Amino acid sequence: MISCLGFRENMSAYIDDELNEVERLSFEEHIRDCRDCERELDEMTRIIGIYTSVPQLELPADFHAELHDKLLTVADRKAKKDSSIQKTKNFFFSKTFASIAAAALLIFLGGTFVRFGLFSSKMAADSAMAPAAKGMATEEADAEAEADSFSMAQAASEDAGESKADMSEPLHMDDGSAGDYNSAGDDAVGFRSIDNGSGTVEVDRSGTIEGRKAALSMAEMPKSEMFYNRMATITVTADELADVAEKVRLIAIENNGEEIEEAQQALSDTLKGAEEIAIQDNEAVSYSTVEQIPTQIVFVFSQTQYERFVNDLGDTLGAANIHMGAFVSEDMTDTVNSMIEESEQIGLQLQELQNKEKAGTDEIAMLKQLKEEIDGQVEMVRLGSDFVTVTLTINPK
Amino acid sequence: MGQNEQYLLRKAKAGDVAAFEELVESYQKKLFNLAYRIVGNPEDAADMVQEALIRIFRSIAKFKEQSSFSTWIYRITTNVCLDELRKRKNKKEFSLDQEIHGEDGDMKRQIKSDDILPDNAAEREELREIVNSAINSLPEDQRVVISLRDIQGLTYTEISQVLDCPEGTVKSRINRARNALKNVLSQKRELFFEEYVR
Repeated sequence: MISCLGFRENMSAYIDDELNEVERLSFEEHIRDCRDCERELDEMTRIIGIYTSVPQLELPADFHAELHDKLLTVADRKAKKDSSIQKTKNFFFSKTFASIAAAALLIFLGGTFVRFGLFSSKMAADSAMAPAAKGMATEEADAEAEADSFSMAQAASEDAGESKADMSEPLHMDDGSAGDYNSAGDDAVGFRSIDNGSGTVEVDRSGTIEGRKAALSMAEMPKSEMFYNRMATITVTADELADVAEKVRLIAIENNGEEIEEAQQALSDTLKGAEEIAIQDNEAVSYSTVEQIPTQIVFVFSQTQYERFVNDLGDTLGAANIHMGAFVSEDMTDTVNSMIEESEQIGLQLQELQNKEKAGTDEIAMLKQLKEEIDGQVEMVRLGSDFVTVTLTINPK
Repeated sequence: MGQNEQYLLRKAKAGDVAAFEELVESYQKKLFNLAYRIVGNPEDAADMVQEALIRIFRSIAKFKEQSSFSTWIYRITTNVCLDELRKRKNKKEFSLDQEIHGEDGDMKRQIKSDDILPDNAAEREELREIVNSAINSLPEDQRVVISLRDIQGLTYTEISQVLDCPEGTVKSRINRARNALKNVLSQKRELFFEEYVR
C-alpha cells in the first residue's frame, strides 16, 4: 500500500498526464478513498490555474529591431570570416608548402637557396635545406601540393631534427610576467628587442619607459617600410567555458576581431613548437554548460582594436580572470625583403627559361606558381603588419 | 518540425538572417517569458533572449538536429539565463546591499498596487505582482521547471532534454515547485481568490 506521501509525490505528474497507466489507475483509486489527497489535488490544480492565468509579457517594442541589427552584424562578420579563412589558410599553410616547394625546386633546378625567415616556414625551409631533406624529390612536393602542407612540413622537420630546436625557441616566450592585464593592454605597442639570430623579435615586458622609447625610436626610423608579425597570448579562467567562449567571441566581434578557427592547429603548433597542447575541436565548443574542455580561439585584430578588445575583456570577465601572456612582435622586414628578392630572382629565372628554346613548360608553370605564392605571402605580411594575432585560451578555474 | 521550418532552418544555416528571424519568430515571446521567469525582470529578460538568439544564430550551422529545434533553443536560452543568475550571485557576495535594496523595491511596488482601486486592470496587475513574487521566491531550478512546464507547455521528456537531467528529477522538481507555490499563494487567498477562481 502506497502512503499518501507517495501519492502526493505523483500529484503533479498526474495533473500533467505524465503517469503510466498503472500509476494513474492506482492514483485515481487512492483519490476516491482519500479525502485529504483529493482536497490537495483540487488545491494544486487551482493554484496552477491561478499562476498560469497571468497573461504573458509582450516583447519590448524595440526588441525585433535591436535583434535584427545584432544579427546583421554577426552575419556580416560570419561572411567576412568565411572569406578570410581562405586567406588565412594561405597565410599559415601555403607558406610552409611554398618554402618546401621552393627549396625542392631549387634543388631540382640546381639554383641557389634563399633562406626564408618567415616564422613557421623557418621550420620547413630549414629542414628542407638540411641534408636529410635533400632527398625529397620535386614530384613528391608536387604531388602533395594539394595535401595538408602542414603535416608535410612537420614530417620534413622530423627528418631534419637538428634545426628544430632553435627555430621554435625565440617564438615560444610565454612569459607570465610579461605584464598584468593593464600594462599589456595599455602598452601593447611598447616592446623590447630580443635578437633571435635571424630576425628581431620584440617582446612587450611591462610597457617600461625603455620599451616606449624603443617603440618610438623604431617609429622614427627612416626605413622605407616595416613589417611586423605580432602575436599575443591571453589566458582566461572561467567556470563555464562554453559560455565564456561565446562572450569572448561577442566581445571580439564588437571590436572587429576576426576569428580564424581554421588556423588554430597550425598556429598553436607554430607557437608551442614540439610541445603538445590540447586543442579543442570545433565541435566541442558546443553550448552545453556540461563540457569543460579548455578552449583555444585565435583572433586577428588591428593594433588599436586589440587594445580595446583587451579592455572590454577585462570589463566583462573581470580583470582577475584575464592573464596576459607575452606580446611578441617579430620584425618581418628582412624576411619580406628577402622574399621580394626571391620573387625577383624567380622572375629572372623565368625570363631565362622562357627565352630558351627547349624549356620545359612544367618548370615554367611551377616557377610561375611559386612566384605567385611568394608574392601572395608578401602581400599577406604587408596587410597583416598592422594586425595582432591573439591566441586566447579559456581554462577551467 | 514542419516542412517550412525545415526549409527556414536550412537557409538560416547558410547565414540567411531573414530566414532565421522567421524561424525563431514564433518562439521569441515564449523565450522572453521563460527568461523573465528565470531572471525576474523584463529588461534583463530581453537582453538574455537576444544574447541567446545570437548564440543560436552563430551556432545554427552546428545544430545537429538530433534534438528538436525547440528543445535546443530552450536549452540555450535557459543556459544563458542561468549563467546570468550565477554572475549575479558572484556580484552579490560583494554588494549585498544592492540585492536587498532590489527586494525592497519589489515590496514597495506590491504595496503600492494594493492602494489602486480594484478595477479589472488593477486586479490583473495585482495578480501578476503576487504571482511574480511567489515564483521569484522559488529556488532557480524550480523556477526553470515551472516555466518550462506551465508557461511553455513542455512535456517532462522535453524538459529533461532541455535541462539535461533525468525525467525523475524533472518530475520531483515540478512537484516541489508547485507545492511551494501553493503554500505561498494560499496565504494570499483573501486577496484574490474569490475574484479569480470562484
